[in-house]
Amino acid sequence: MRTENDPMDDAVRRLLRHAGMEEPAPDFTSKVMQQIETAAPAPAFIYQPVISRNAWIFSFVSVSVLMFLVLYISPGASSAGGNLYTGMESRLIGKLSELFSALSSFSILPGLAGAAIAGWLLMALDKRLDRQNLPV
Amino acid sequence: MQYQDDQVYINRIVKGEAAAFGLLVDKHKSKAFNIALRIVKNREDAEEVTQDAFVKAWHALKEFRGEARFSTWLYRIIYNQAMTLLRKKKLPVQSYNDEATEWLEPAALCTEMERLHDREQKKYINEALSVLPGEDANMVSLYYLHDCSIEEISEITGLGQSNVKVKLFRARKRLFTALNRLLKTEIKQLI
Repeated sequence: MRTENDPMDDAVRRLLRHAGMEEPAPDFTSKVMQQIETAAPAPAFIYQPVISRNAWIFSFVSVSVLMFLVLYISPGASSAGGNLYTGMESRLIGKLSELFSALSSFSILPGLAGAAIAGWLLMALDKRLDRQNLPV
Repeated sequence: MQYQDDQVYINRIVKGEAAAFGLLVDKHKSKAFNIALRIVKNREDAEEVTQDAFVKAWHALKEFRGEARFSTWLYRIIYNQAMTLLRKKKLPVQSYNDEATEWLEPAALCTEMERLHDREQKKYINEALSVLPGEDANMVSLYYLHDCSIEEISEITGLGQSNVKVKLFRARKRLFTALNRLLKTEIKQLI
């Protein structure tokens, strides 16, 4: 094939370069930039955890406070746990058994309470996802 | 204007400086426009193709990995965009009569051309390129005007390298034939 290192290549190159190039309209660049500015930007996906750091801290503090209240503030000590457990463990087990026995005596209320908490959590999650405006 | 390396602009664009894309457009617009013009054969369509190609390049810039030169990547977008427009508008694919004519040998033709005035030279070459089929005119200008290698033309057009060589050789021959016809017509008119 004679396309490379052909003496004719130089002649053709010279002729074409001499003819030069056509120029686009003077406002070509500004038209392109206008199109870019008006075009919607590609949706960017930025990861955000569903449960924020503050929510985790709030949950941890709430549970800790609740446990502290149950163990140290509430009056009376439990007898549950027998001789195997002493101090904090026996009180924790005692309170838990009291809680379970109380729950078993009210069969409808715990269900309702659970449903309300679950509903509240789902609503909160839904609002959060809505705020994030994630692509579907 | 002295332009910097393409990668400098691309880095600035990726960092969020959209205005740097304007400099990239300024740097490449002439060559880009001429590639489109050789294929679609009219200024309005060539401007539309080139603008669309630049906008496409802007949106796809994140995918540009720098494996090929930016210009090669851009020319490929323009080539595809121009070919798509040809198909969409159903523009007739220009046929070319390869029939042998009494023509000057290429060396003699070049000598004759060089004797002409600048303006006439430009006129004949541009006319000859405009009568060539778009793909041929594009091959010739990519190789001789834009200094693209056979490998780069292969990347731009999606054709194999040996196929590019064959087409380039044929396109050059057709360019000479077209120039011969134009010169002959001109001489006849003068006589």
